[in-house]
Amino acid sequence: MELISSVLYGFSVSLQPVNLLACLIGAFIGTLIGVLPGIGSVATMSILLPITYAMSPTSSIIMMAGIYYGAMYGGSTTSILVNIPGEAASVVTCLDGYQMARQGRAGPALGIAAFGSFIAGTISVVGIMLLAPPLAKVALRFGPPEIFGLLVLGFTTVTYLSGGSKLKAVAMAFLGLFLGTVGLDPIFATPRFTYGSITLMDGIGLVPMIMGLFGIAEVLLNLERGLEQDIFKTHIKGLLPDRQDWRNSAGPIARGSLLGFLLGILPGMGTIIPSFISYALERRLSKQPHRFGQGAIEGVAGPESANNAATGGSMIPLLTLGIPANVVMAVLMGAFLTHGVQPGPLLMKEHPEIFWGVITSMYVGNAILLILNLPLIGLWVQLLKVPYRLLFPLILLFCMIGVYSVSSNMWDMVIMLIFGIVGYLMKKFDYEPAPLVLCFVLGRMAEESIRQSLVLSRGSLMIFLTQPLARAFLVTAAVVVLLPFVIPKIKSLRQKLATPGGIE
Amino acid sequence: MGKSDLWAAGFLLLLGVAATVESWRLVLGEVGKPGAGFFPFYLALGLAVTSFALVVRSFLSRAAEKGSAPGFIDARALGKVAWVVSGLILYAYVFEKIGFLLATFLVMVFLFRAVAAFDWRLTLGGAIASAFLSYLLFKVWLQVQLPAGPWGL
Repeated sequence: MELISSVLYGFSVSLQPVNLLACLIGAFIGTLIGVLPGIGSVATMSILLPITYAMSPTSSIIMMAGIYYGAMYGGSTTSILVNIPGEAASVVTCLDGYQMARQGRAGPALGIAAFGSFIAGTISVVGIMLLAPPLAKVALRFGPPEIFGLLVLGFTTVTYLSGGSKLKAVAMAFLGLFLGTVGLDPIFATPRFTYGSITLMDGIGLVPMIMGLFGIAEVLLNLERGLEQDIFKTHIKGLLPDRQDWRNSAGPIARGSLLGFLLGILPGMGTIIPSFISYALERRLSKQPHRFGQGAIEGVAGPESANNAATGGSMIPLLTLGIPANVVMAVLMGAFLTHGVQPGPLLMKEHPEIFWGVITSMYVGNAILLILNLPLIGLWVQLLKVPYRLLFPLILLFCMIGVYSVSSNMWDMVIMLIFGIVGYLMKKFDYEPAPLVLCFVLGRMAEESIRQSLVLSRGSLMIFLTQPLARAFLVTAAVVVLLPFVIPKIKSLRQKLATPGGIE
Repeated sequence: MGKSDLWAAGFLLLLGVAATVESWRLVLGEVGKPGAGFFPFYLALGLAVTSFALVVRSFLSRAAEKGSAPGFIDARALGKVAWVVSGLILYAYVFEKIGFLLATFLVMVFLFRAVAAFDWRLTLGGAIASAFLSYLLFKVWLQVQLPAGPWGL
């Protein structure tokens, strides 16, 4: 009963005109940038972060979240129509979605993507409602050793799950944690690595860092790739999937939603991996796997549901534990913090309007997106024709003014540009920015918890092993670290055992 | 890959070593009474160790693929990036001196003309429009404190 009244309270917040408008704007902007290749949701959210200062915390978080799941919707549109994933999470959708479009079935593909996303979004919102309150209750009992254990687990999964070289990801994690220590020491207030700079006394700002690493760096990378793009031509008729389409898609949507939601909760998972796993799963379960890659609607329905459900799942660690599961959540955490609200187990008690308002707004947002997307697809297609060389000067200007507006400090612009170059070079040298940002965000919390734990235990590291929960977190983290070394061994062992020509 | 990888890892190693030394100079404290330098010291050490491993790895892979020395960034692309960033740094520098409107107009002329290569008519129109609209958005609507120039603009 308590849950139902909380949910009703949440709707009373999210349906307030101001918040409804924020949700609409967020969903609209999200779809817009989801459609436009070359600008992602992280960049957009970070660029718009300063603008939300004028809004209430609830409205601004609602808008930010709207951008995130709106981009998931928009990304699928370009994947299907032009074989360009507007968002990384829509890469898989290209495989069958574009084939469907080539066979003249762009309408049903777009339709099932939108409906699947809507259903998945709905399921994940229900999941959050059920899971978040008990999780927050447990988290309230965490002391410094448990928090430290949980953070270590978060660091390791983020590092393990980030693509590319693991060693590079570890280096980035250390760098992120180290950069987080710049500024005043959280316990003794000793200035560290500030070298007399007043700007650095407050630490390196999260906003300039994220805007640089994602906003500026993305523009710089695109500039280098050249400013011309293909002009798109095709036309769409009949958006509604037929009865057979629905029959084929029901299973993939249900499985994709569940899978996406559960995977999305894991730190570092993001939305890309769930969509890939869903695709692989559907192909394996299909009675006609050869249809995949040739325009199978299941190959659109499953992954599209999975990536939307994952956006919901990834909200859970942030709302209940105060730990962002991916970079987008780190930006969202930035939005919380700049409004003076600490996300975490206390959020539900101290700011029920934000907690329940944001969760129910996601439901409202999914409905808005469904209404927004189907009739407006023609408009989104037109948008693909906006030349990037007109867009990028405006994006850069927005970043510059936006970052300045945070604290009216010109040095924030410079810090952002430095991180822009750093982000550009990182991409060039194959270093992932995600571990750096996430570890940076959590660094201060990690330092406080380890130092408090050590003071509590009078210097004995055993405190992390004698507390059962902390031990469980650390053991899981150790397993995550060791897995990459163990799995190839198992694989080669299995290959030795398997008869030649066994699978595929 | 080998060569550029080595550069990146080498840079990180230098950074890690410098950070370790700098943290050492802060108060490390003891395990029971950790000081300000305690946490950063071990992080910097971690960075130094992992980047050392990266250096070793790229050294080994480089030896393996001797002879192939690919340049990873072509000079023209890098030049464009440097050009844009220096324009923006200049913008940050003059922003508070000559005021928001003039600085924004100038930087947009630079971006539209020198980088995006629009013709002068579109450049000037675009620069005026974007300076004016961003002023409306940030200053009037969002009430952000933006610096006025010596002429009060």
